[in-house]
Amino acid sequence: MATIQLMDDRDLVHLYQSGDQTAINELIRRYKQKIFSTIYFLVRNREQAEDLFQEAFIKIITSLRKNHYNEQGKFLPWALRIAHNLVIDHFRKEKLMPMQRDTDDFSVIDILPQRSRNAVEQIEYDEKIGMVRELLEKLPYEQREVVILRHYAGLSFKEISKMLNINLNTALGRMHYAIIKMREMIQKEKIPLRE
Amino acid sequence: MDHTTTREMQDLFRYAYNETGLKDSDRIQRKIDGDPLVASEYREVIEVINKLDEGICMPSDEVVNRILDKAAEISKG
Repeated sequence: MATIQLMDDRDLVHLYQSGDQTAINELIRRYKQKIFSTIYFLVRNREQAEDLFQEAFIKIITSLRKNHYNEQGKFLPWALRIAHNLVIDHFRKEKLMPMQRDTDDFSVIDILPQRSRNAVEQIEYDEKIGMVRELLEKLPYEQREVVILRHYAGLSFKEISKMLNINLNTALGRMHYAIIKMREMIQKEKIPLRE
Repeated sequence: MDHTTTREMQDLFRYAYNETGLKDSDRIQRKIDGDPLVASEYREVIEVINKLDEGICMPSDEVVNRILDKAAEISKG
């Protein structure tokens, strides 16, 4: 039998549904970065992002246990749809339209990662995430959403268009405007680029 | 980005994210190699993408452990 790290998503789902707990551990390990980054950059608050991330995974696990998963092995787009719907519900509950949020509420505390780093590494890490967050903050929500789903979630433009119910050219067009705007911001604010 | 067509820009995004097949990839790479303006646009797209890479973040270990505990509980239940 293949080691669990080599198994594809569909086999992991079947394994979990047959009662093997290690399969869900592997799915979380495999996708926590993509799903968490996506939620985090949409809600822009670490605490809320962690709550939504937990809620999303509990929903995912419950659906898997009830055999409600039927996505022909496309676990990530399915999981991201669950996470994305929770984010939308969150904005509705908070009566916040994401594009209307104040950008002055940025706090380094919001972005503190939990992995152990020394003080200098920690500051550098915070600065980098803070800069990216500032870039994304200044995009209109619809453009930001496409960038996050493409870049952090790893969905294809086609999958994004399906998930957001827009056509492919609209998804690509939003990415186009977002890239232009981010490039302008990088130049205007002299944000350092990686060598 | 005044002189690159929308279609060319869209090709560059798809190419940058490895969404093009072999034939399209070859066509786009030739365009990049043969047109300095397209090459410059592509470089700028990659610079932004590299910058976005710096923002990748992880959930805390605490939240992951809570999920795993909950998964174990659901499995038993």
